[in-house]
Order: sequence, then structure tokens, then C-alpha cells
Amino acid sequence: MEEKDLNAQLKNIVEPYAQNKEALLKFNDSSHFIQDLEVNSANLVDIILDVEDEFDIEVDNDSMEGMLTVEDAKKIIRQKLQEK
Amino acid sequence: MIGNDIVDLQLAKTQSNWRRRGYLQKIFTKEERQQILDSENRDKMIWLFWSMKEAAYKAWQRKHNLAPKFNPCSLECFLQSSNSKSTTGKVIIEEESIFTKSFFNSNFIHSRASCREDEKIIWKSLSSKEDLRQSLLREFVATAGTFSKFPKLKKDRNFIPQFYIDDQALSYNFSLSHHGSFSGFAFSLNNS
Repeated sequence: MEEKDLNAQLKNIVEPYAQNKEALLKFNDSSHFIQDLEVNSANLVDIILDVEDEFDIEVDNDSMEGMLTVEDAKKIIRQKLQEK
Repeated sequence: MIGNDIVDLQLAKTQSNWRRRGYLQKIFTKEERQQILDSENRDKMIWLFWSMKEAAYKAWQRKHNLAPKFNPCSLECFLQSSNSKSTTGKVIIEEESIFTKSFFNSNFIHSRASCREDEKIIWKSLSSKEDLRQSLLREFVATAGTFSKFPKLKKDRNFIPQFYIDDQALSYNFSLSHHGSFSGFAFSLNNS
């Protein structure tokens, strides 16, 4: 999958939950879901469920544990897509 | 070490759809889910458990000085005693017990947690209109003693806030939480 497609897809998923719209404009690998994008931690679960639906993968709890930044999320998505 | 977490129940209703397929499985253990399903007020039970986990996680993360992670299922809540306004319980994380107290009304649930059962904790919930940081600092200075200067709040590299006087971190621990129309703080009078 193209890097920019993955970025765009992920940004689309995160958008409705990001409370800091300014940080969303600067969406990049180091964006931290909670600290920068100000996603409510209960909505982190929604992001993970949306990622599972969108990419048809399963994010187990151990992978979810490290999914705190855009870069983390992309790494996990790529890894799970490869395992398919 | 301590932690606290507040949930605005009205906001939680619109912000989170726990009925979504897979949602509860990502957050709660099998036993917790059973208790939620058996309870008369599922919303309340869900956000009570959630706030206990968040508060306990903050206390535990601070104690071990860990980088943040997100794995709510690795924490398990146990309720010990409850009345119409509050409940005490504990949360087990990696075989360690963290002790919690929660206060609730129809608007919010506020939980605080501590690694030691006998920790002396001051905790308060307020309306978001009030300045949380200023309220915490005022309450802290009023109860914890005399300081050479009025302390400031700063976050360390693990995003954990600390009291500072100039560049010196004070060894008191505290926790801030904010959600929707409410915010809460807790601090420990046991100098760590």
C-alpha cells in the first residue's frame, strides 16, 4: 500500500475523534493520538475498531497497547496486513 | 502514587457508543463484561469501571515511571463496597493491587486511585468553568505546607505533570482529569 494512501485513510479514521483540529491539519507520523490530537481515551477504542474494519485486520490487545502515535498505528497496520 | 479520572456521563453518552460491536471486548475482561450485563444501569457500570481503570493506570504508570501504553483489558476492576453515592474497590494490574474510591451522581463519575491503601489523598471535582490548575495549586498550597515560591505545574517526558518551584520538581504526586463539563484533581499528602 502506498504511504500516502495509508496516511489519508488513517487521517480519515481519526478525524471525527480528534478534538484538536489544528493538530489534525499537521497530522504526521509523530502525532500522538491523545497528547496532540486530543482523542478522548475511550475513543481510542473506536479508532482501533475503525482500523480493524477499514483494513480487515484484527488488532490484538498487545498490538493495541503500543498504538499511541500515527507511526505506531501505521506500523501495526502494515504488519497485520502482511500477516494476512 | 496516585491517579484520578472523571467521566462526564452526558458527554460519554454521545461521545462513545459502547453498544458498538467489539467495543466492550476491547476494554473489559470477561468478568467485568458479565457484571456490566447483569447491572441495572449499564452506562454507570461501564463508566465506573472505565474511570477506575484510568485512575489506577495513572497511579501505576507514575509508580513505575513508565511510558504511556493503552491496554485496558490488562487491568481488572473489583468492587468492594458501594452505597448510592460512592464505591470503593481495587484494580489489579500485573498482579499489583491499586486501591480506588469513586464518587458518582447523575452528571459524572469521579475515581481516584492509590498504590497504598492508607495514602492520604485530597481530591475534588469541579465544573470545567473553574480553572483546574489554579484550583489544584491553591488547594495544594493551602494543605501541603509553606513553600518559598508559589509552585507551577509542568509535564515531564512521560506526560506526567509535576509541581515545580523554579526548575526543581517537588516530590508530591497529583493527577488532573478533565472531561466535558467536569474536571477533577487529586493529590497525595504523603511526600513521595
